[in-house]
Amino acid sequence: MSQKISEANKISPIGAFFLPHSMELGVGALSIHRIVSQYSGHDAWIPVLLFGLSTVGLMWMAFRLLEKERANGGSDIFSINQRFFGRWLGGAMNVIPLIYLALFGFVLLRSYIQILQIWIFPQLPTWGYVIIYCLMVWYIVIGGIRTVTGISLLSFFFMLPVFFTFLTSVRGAHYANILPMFDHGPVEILKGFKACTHSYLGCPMVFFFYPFLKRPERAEKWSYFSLLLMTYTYVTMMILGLLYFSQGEIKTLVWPTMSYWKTFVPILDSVDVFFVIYWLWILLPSTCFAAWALSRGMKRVFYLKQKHALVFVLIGFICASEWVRDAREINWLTKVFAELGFYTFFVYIPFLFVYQWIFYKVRRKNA
Amino acid sequence: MFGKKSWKKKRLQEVSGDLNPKTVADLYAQLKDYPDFTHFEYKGSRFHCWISFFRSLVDVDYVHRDILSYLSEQSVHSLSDIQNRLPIEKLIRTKDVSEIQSKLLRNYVIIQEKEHDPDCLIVPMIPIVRRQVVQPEIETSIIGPKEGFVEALDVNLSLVRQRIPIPQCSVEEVTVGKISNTRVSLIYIEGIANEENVNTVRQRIRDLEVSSLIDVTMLADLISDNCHSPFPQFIDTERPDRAAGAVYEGKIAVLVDGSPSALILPSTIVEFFSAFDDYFLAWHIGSGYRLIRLFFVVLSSVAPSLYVAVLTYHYQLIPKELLGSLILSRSIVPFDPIMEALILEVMIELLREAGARLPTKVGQTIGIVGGIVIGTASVQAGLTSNVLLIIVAMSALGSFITPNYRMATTIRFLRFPFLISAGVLGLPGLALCITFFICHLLKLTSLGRPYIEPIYPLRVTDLKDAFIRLPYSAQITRPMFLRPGDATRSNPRRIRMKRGPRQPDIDE
Repeated sequence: MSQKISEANKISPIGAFFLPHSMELGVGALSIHRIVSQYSGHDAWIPVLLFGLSTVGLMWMAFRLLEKERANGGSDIFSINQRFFGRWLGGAMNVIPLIYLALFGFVLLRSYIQILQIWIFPQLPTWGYVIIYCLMVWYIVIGGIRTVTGISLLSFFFMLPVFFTFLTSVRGAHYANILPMFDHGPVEILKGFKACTHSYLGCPMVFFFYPFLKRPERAEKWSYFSLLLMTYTYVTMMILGLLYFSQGEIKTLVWPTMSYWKTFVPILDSVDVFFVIYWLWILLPSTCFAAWALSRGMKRVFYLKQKHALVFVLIGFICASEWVRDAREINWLTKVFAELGFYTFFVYIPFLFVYQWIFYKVRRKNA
Repeated sequence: MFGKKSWKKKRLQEVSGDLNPKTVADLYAQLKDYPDFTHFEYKGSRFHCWISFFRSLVDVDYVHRDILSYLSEQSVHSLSDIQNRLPIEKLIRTKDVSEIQSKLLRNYVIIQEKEHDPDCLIVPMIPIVRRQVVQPEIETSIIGPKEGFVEALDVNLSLVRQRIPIPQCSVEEVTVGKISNTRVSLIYIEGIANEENVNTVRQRIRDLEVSSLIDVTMLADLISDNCHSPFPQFIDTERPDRAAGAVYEGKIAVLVDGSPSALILPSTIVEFFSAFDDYFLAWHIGSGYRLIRLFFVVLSSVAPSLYVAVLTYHYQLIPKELLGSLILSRSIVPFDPIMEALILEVMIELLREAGARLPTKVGQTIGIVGGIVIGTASVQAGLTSNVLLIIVAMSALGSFITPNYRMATTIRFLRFPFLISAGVLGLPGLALCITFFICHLLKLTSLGRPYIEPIYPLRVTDLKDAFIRLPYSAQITRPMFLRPGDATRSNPRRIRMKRGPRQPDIDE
């Protein structure tokens, strides 16, 4: 079932730095302030920090799972499921990661188009943009995982200047906004913690690209760095946002980050238009990776050719984006996906981890 | 339908009739009417022989001086005597007609005892002098070497060989072209150049199925990884110093007979934007010029399309101070920004083409006239706006600072898809179009090596000679991109030893 992956198609360990980073950064970064602070108020940076640190723990579990699995050949979530739960049950379980990936790619794409429609072209037909976009994704993904990694690397470098624009908000900061600290109880913090999932959904992607890493033991370090950097970015963004907007204001803004850009005037007026379009480069690596991983997953589960599976996936994206019509439906879908993501993070992966521990214990005893 | 197919088959059928002559007599029968073919019987006092050569290929003076003078000597009685007497190296004695034919059509002289005698002596001669070595015309430099490649392969080889005087510098010759039999030379240093690269190039050149090969750019197209890409994948240079520098780095240079430039392979995209002048200036200044070049190349390819996108769809981006002058200059223009920009771009392209095709003297005049007409008159006539004129002129300048001409044309071509996508979908369209080209670059390879190498795959060590050029003392390793056989240029330990211990303090 799992053919050997040739060295020419593998990515270097540093790929494990760029891939999780660009996967995590999505449309969530535009609305993280509102979503988290509706539960945790001005302490919203605490759940963001906590969640960021917990993703590192998740990554550690993921690497332990995948490392043990490596002895049995190509190790990704599909082979883990099949080994632990047998052919039929495991095959059925494999549908979960496929749904996760499909939602990951699709929700991101659809929300980005929604932003484009609201911010720039109200009359932009969804299907028109999606078709052009999916053609591009097709062009990238037929180049394989190396091209997808290249896209995420470029995305990282393209986004560096964008992060520095946030620093200019220091001029308009009101430090009293986040005082008093630790003003919220544990329940509110936990609610905010759950709401953070929305922004960290790209973290478990290592389950899909692990077999393509050269020297995965060296990649582990890079992936932790990547998660910590992302956590740092989110926390600074959060704190700067909380300092810049008051609590009353932040609850009324759908995408506080963009409202901030609206006030940022370097040479041109309303650069927010420019940044919205620049955000394409945040979207691109995630959707490309989702399309790649989804088509590869379909290859492993349904025994299709990846080329054909990719076409199915992209046609699916195009059809589904017509099916989801307005902002309410997008919000609903996002909520469902965040819910799925939350349980994947804190139930499914730890469960697999514990199960593996027992699985190998029992097996050793039998042998 | 069947008839049509068979007709096509018949048309594409190879002509089987063997046109090559079987004997020397056949060969002469074919050649004897040509005005530049010299075929005569030399009647000396003791010895008669037939001499044949092409006046258009062999310098006749040397034939008189070096061959005919020896034939009249007393001791010459037969072909073997000539072979012993002539003070010329590498005389060939053969009966092979195909060899005789190929030598006759190069700079060789054939000597026989009787006219149709199959036994021939082939004497190498000096070829007619072609163009002298002159200054390079496209890749000019203010300081540094002033020699440029010429059309003769042997001269070009000597220009490179003189710069690499070591036995490891190996030159391989391959003949390409069924009809033309063009000589193609591969130059590389054994032990430094990657074996795999050399094999790939050799394989690709040997496997070519062409009838003729005119220029090195034609070869570049034929052996490139992706011939549908608008981006050239191998650098062509007319500077022997640049070619030699590349060979020292571990690259392979390819020369084609009759072409005044060399091909350097493999190459990355950044190298197309580095002029050889950068290496002759102090490293900060060289790096500064390189950055300016890259910046303006990027700006020049997107500036007109940004103008179109912003003026058509995103006028909220324009600052209030600029709005007044923009309205003023646009108010009498009857076209959409996209039409306006396309008209002006096509006009500039026309001007460039006219400048390139016309003879130099006329070209200059036309250039000035065209510039004035297009510049001021079209604004006064209300065909374009002043602002766009500035943008288009600046971007035309920007695209021509690319040192490599083929890359410059690619950069000029890029603005048309950008313009159209900006006209159709505004900034999102432009972003999609640029992204598409970036993805294309990401997938492109040169000789199987990644084309945008120091960026992806990220190799920090190769960045020291990409966007900026660090001083030579910092460049002790060869580019990792080439996977060279010998990775280091110089021994870092020895450098440290020679430099001696660090100064402990001021004035000690």
